[in-house]
Amino acid sequence: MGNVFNIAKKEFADLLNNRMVLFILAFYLLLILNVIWGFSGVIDSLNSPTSGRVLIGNGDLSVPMSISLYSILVQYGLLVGVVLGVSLIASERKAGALNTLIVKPLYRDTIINGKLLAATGFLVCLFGMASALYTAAIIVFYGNTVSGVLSSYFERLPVVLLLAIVYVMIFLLLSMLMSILVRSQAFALILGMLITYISQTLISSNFAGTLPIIISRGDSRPLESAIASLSPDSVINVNSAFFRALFDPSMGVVNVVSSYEADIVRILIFFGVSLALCYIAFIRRDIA
Amino acid sequence: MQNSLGTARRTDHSEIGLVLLIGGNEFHRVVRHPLVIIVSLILLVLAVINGIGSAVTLTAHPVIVNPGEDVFILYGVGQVFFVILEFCSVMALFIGAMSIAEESTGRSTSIIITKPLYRRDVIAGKFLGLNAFMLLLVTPNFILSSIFLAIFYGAPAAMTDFVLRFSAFVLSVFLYCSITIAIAMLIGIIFKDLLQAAVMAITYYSADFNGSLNGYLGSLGTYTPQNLFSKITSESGLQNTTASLSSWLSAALPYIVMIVLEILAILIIGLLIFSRSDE
Repeated sequence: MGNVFNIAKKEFADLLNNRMVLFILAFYLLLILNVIWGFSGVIDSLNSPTSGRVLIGNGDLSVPMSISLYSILVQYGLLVGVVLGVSLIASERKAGALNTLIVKPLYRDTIINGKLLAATGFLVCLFGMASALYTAAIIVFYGNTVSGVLSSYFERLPVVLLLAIVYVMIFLLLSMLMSILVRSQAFALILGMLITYISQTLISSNFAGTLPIIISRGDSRPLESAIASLSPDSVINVNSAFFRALFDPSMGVVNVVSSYEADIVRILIFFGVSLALCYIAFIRRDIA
Repeated sequence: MQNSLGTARRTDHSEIGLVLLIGGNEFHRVVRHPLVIIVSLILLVLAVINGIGSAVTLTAHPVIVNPGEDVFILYGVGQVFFVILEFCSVMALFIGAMSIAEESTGRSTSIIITKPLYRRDVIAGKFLGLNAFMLLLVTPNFILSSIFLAIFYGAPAAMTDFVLRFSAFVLSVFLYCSITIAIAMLIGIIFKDLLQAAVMAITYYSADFNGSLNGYLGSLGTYTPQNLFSKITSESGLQNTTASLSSWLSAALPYIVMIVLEILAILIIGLLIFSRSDE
């Protein structure tokens, strides 16, 4: 166990010193600031209902506040996850350090456990800090307006945070898998990115919405749901029932979690499968 | 004098020949890449599904359109338009970044620049080769989707108008891919390491494609590739068959010119940096 923590500490430090990771973090910070800046538009909609802009959440400001955070973590965090996944393997592969590491008296699963622990820790820290920065900025800039809805916002916060971590981890693991399987790390990075697009395309009208129309003679909706359920995006996308319930001001968070257990289990299965594939590839494949 | 002119002509001819040779070489290099097979398969599946699917949907649930509107263009081609753009531009991003950066990483640039070649020929040749490949990737997918739609649903309302608009669809996606290639090549020239170039390229692409680049650039945001593309297609009414194609062209032409000028400017900047690099 000590070895796992040692490797995790080293990986964590490596990620912090990696120029690619630092660049992507700087870009991520810009995106967060952009969302914070854009929140003034939400406040304007609230203050001038006649402006024609529709405010999500029927006037409950905690809803757009939570959704903005959700987009910071899920939509923008996805790119960070993909880069992190590739960086975990690429940096050592490039320097030849992985060759050295795997001939040490260490089990390969110790190495991958350490890497995964570091990746999870890094993502938790990053998303924790992103949430803290966003929340603090909203309170500082729009404190008077949002003070009444903070309790409702904080009630959703842990679920949003956990969901985002699990979702981004799925793609982090898949890009790590690509990085293990493919020799060119740039190609692995593009494949990691392509997987996120494929996942989004699977639930789109171009695929899940169209394929069942061709195949099924009768009601195509069950098949559409079945196809869409092959993608983790079916749980977290803005049109999913789970998403709508999570940001429905009339539903308590505990109620949402208990009502949509199946969706939560599904996203955990995606996580488990990605993790298992990553493990198998790392342990079995000749990565040197 | 005649000799001199003759030599000059031969030199020009051989220079163009060299550019085409480099372009052809780049084309063959890209065509064999595994990513091409993956993206082509995805696009093929989506083109077939959407071609047939749109036909089935439109037959089962006829859409009431305004007089002059063509369902074939509105719902048929429009259905696959964005998805072709998305996957082709990812492809453009990768091949653009890979074009220079992979050779820099593999040190083959050092060999190329010792050959009797102008560096501008290398850049121009690679750019031409990659663009030829993109045109080959974009066009068949639109054609395939339209063929399936025509077989299972019916022909477009006006064939000449369809062919012209179809060409405009291909041109607009091609231009977006072309500027993506130019930017990715520039990134590949600046960051010689392929992985670093790929990270920078996908970061740029994410910022441009999701529109956040517009937010950072303020009034300059009008000139981002994504914004120009949007002005060429949706804002100029490319799918709106009630308006004539010439009205689309007059609305879109300034933006088409702008995107071409941007491509040239990016290539020149890339060339300047490439020429000054000591590799």
